[in-house]
Amino acid sequence: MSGSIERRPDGSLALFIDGDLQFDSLDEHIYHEGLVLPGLLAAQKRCNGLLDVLIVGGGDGLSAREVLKSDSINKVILVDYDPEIVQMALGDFSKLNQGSMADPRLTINCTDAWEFVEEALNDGEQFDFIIVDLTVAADSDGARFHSIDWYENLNQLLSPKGVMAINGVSPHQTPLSYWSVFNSMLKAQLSVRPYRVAIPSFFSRGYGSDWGFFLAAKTDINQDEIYAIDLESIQPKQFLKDLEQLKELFYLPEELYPLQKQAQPALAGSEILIRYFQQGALSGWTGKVSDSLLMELKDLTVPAPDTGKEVLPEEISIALANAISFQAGVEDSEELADPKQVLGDVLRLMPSLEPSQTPDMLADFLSDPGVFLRSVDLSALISRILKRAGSLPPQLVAELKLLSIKLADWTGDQLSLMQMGRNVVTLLALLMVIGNLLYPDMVYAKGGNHDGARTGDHRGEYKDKDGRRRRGDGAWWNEGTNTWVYDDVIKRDRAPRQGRDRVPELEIRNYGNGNKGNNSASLPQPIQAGDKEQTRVMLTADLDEAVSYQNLLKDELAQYMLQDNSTVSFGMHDISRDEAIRLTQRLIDKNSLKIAMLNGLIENLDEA
Amino acid sequence: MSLRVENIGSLERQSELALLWEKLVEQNACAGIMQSLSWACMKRSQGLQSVHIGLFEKETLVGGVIFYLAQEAQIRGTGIMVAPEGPVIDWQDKRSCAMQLRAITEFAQNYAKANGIMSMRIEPRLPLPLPAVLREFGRAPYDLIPRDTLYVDIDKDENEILMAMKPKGRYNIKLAQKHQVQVSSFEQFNFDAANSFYEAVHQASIRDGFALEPKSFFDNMILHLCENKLGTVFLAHHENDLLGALLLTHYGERATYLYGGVTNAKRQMMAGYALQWAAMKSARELGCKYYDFYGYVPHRSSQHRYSRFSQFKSQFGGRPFRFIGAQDYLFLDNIAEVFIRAAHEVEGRKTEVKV
Repeated sequence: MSGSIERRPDGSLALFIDGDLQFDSLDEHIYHEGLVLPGLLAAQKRCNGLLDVLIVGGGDGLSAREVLKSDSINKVILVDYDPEIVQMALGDFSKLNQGSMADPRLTINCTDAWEFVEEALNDGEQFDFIIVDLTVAADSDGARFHSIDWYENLNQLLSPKGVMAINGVSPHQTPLSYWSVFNSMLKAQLSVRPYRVAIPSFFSRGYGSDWGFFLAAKTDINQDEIYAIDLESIQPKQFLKDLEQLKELFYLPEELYPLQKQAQPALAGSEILIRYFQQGALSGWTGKVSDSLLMELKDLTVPAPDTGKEVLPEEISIALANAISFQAGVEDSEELADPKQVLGDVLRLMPSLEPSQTPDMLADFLSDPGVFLRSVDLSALISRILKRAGSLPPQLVAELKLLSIKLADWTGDQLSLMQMGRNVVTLLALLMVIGNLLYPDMVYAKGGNHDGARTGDHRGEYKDKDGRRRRGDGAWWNEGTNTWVYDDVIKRDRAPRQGRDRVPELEIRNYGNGNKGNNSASLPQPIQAGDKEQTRVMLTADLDEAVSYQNLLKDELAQYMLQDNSTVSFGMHDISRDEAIRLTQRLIDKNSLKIAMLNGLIENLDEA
Repeated sequence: MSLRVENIGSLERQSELALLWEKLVEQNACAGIMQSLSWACMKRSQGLQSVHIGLFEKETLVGGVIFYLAQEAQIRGTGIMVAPEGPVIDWQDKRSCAMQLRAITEFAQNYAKANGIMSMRIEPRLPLPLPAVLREFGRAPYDLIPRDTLYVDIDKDENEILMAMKPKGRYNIKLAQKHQVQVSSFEQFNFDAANSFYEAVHQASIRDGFALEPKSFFDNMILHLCENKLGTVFLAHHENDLLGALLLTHYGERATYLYGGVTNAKRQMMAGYALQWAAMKSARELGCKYYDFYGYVPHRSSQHRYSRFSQFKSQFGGRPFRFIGAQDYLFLDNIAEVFIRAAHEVEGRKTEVKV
């Protein structure tokens, strides 16, 4: 982690870790008093005598500052993985944290919190007050600190009357993430009360209009207990000054509560918490609130935990279960959905897998799912699947076998591929898309996607006479659905021209309204003259590249044919001459299709 | 020649092996900053994992690669391991190249099996034609780095660099000077500079309609690049108005215009030209020989949102380059396994749907 401090002329400062705001000195007291004081005072009341306190995270010393205001502290153990932040706390923030990190009652451990907790359990330690003040999880490593496994460990570490205070996320901004943490704690047999504060600096950074915490214990924390805590016993305070204010912390929007039963808790390894970040903020908020201290915890429904080991996100496998029917031999049935449409529809259901992806970016990224299968040796892959197919549904096995036969005659055209093995190809394309989407940089990639019939730049975007955003292949951008939409089915069947391969049929379907094709011949608007010339130059450059590559491959093929050796070099390996010939011929056939498609696009320009 | 392959993990930055690695990367014309240890450190802070493979002849490090992986994808079994600007191998010698690439691929295959990875993606800065050693690879669906770019030769004096530009480029640089556009540079991380940088690129992204990473991404990137003396932020102002910003990286012989943009203020003052010229001069002073515009798409439709950028870049002279693009090596057994798991999951959901 990389910490940096922004210092301002007015003397205030802010801490950032990897670019994310951790605290702003102007309002950090709201966060830290809110996180620490309710739990601390509850623990004081429950536990007689001095408290043993564990702070997980909080290396800035600010949670510790709040704890050490109490006269009832025996010891504080602070565990923070980041020595850089701890050093800052001892130096740059020492005034702000009022020297908490140098307090004789406090011991600092710079170690992994998970390992610390496991060791503490082995040693039989227990704590009366546990604070979890960790940064918001950005990956599965961070997300494990909101898992059932983690909270089970903390539950064991908690003394019988002890209390926990947990940093959450914004209930308003990321309600499902918030409830996922809550449900994970319930699954860990903790009694949990959600509450929240409003932090201006968090709001101005877009983190949400509120920020959520949780109070937890082995036994129920109810309204009477919270209303009876003695706020006056902790001084000084800048934020949590009276009982009315404390009560309000537990008032949550009424619209938030129904989402609780939708949020899956998480086992360690799951990243569902992070996926829920993309699900969108609470909507339709009326401003009405109700008291979370009155929730009947035993009546709550908690979904099954997300293990994180499923291949497909839950919403995707459900959507596929509804859309895919593993029926071999039913190829042109009107009852079966168009596989490209299934893929498009299923992917549109899927929330962005990365925080910063937008629907616009996803639509652009997914405009040609077939491109994700371009480099797959489908025959070889299907052969490997069939070797392991013992447990697959018989219908899927039959489809696989049929596809395997058809691939022998397949020319490499992506459109016909989708028709040949709908369900297999849909699922396969989905896996390849997911793999690419889950690599964070991909949607921002400056490279884009290239080559083949639908090269990114051959789309030749332009504005048509109606001002609509158009592509060279006829698609137009639908602002309402944030998707590229094709006009109705157009089939062009050309007679072969001298010296050129036959142009494959171009089929364009209307995905936007589920139109299976009515053959009405509404042509895309013609490309403007200047754009046409520029697009031609680019297409011609790509065609020249493909033709050069073809010539290279043909030379290699000729050399293989001439060789006497039974073993030759192909790629990185030495293989049999016959195999090298077969593989090279396959590359030539694939490249031929690309050349044909590029020629077709150039001809389209001539005719547009 | 026998080759030993080893996972060399996270190297101590000043260790002998680390320094040797950086030297290998800097000297390899087909590699770049994304194979540097600093970049790997930055990507780890963004949540990616990295696997650093070293190739040794006897005890000498002769090559290798840094792969980046997304952990969630791995857990699901749908991971891809990506080597932008890699691998770092001897592309000039066919025999060595094949041996080194084979060694990396075999290591990656074993790693992939245990770590839920479907494919390996390499993206060396190799010019066309596609070398025969890559016949077992397929064209990736997406390139991380621009396949087409523009290189300006800056290993000459300033006047020669200017004379190699188009007249409009020279004219607009002079115009910016005449308007007294001030360009300041920041080699150390500075919050105000980072905030101004983001303000400029954010305005440009809205105006020109392209996707932009969030602010925390840029703050983190600038921090890492500046800390490791691999990056400089340039800001253009006129009086108190922010006109534009540019982030330059410099590694080995190549400087790269990684990100930048102009604000909506005083567009007639040609701040973009002032920024590029300042960045080129700075890169030259740092000993770089080439200035990479990191993306160039000539002959694109004039309506396209990247068309104007390329037109702007072309004013500075330069030679267009086209690389082979990203290439995928698929681990078919792993894909078969994950396909079967996914099919079972869908079947399982069907039972739930019926119930």
